[in-house]
Amino acid sequence: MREELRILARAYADGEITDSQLQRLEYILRGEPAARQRYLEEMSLINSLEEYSLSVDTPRAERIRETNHIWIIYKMAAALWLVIAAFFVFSNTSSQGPDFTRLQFLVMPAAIHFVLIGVLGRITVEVDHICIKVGMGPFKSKTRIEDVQSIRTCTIRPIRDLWGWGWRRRMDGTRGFIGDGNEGFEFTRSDGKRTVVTARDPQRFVDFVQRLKANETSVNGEKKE
Amino acid sequence: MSKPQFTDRYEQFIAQIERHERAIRGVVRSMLPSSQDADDVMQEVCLACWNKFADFAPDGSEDAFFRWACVVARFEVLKHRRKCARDRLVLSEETIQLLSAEAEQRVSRAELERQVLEDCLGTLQPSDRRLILSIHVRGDSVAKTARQLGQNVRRLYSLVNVLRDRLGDCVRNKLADRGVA
Repeated sequence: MREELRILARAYADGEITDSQLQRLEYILRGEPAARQRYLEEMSLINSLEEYSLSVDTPRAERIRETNHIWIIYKMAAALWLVIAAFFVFSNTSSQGPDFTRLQFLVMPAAIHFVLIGVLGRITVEVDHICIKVGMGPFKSKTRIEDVQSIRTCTIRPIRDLWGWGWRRRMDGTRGFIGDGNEGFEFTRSDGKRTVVTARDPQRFVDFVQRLKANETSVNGEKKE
Repeated sequence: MSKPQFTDRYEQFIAQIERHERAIRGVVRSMLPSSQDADDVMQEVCLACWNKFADFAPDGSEDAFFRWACVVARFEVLKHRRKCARDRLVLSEETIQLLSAEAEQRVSRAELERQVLEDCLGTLQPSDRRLILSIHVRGDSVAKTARQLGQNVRRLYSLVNVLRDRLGDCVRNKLADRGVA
């Protein structure tokens, strides 16, 4: 009975109770004073959580996600295959002119190359209330929000700062997930390691993480007035 | 009423409302199916209390205004219920009457529960704490949050309920330690 009442009270408080559940809840509440006390205890917990989340300026639960294709890799691959194609067509020129039929041998390797670039050649960044996930293709790296010491927007010069695009690592331990564009953000973990990520709207990520961090500080004692 | 009298009365009203608003909201919320409904009703309660404040006769006790405002709140909850019962599932008038009387009586316990809840939130993992608080940001349902997080609704529901259970147990234990029955 206690467990059933708890489920029903929560369904009611969440606004997701069904007609039959409401009838059952009414039946229990009308019949037993002890059940009414337990119901009020449950509602008090939910009300307190609502009040508290407001007082510490809790950000709404959301997930911010962005995918950036590294177009420069596509462009470089296209240029490479054009050169190879030109070599194939013109390298063995007979008296009848260029042999375009030889291009058929290039179709399969070029297609495989472009599929691989399609899978690996994109940077995804995702932030939710738990962590910052950054990845290149299927390879992902997670940093928990509580391990983020600082975060800020930055301008990224791929060649100069991280020697190129994609997943990068500098001698000082800085990691980079570099896609197209010069805009991005960098965050430092509590162990001092830095990560640089390109993003189209870096301010959105920075604001969200900073709000989560500020909320964390409020909950840990420095409560907002 | 002269202007200084009006100002004096208004200041008295604001002081009383500020002092008891949280407790009144707790009573209102316990009868309604969402925080949005409770916020809407609280606006009406504040307005109705102000309109009827001239009729309020303090009896010298500390919670006289709270008890008087709860009568107004009960009336406003029932009014709101009549309006929204056609398109939403809300407790019946009889159950609301039963609950409101008991909710008023346990207001001091509810305040204690709120105080110890803050300590209990500190015992959760930071990510769990952020989740449970963000789920309870007013106006967001678990289903809506699940969509925003790209998670399965049932899975998120069970996770939230585990956290609520943990917090509920922690609050009960802490109150028992303090000798509150």
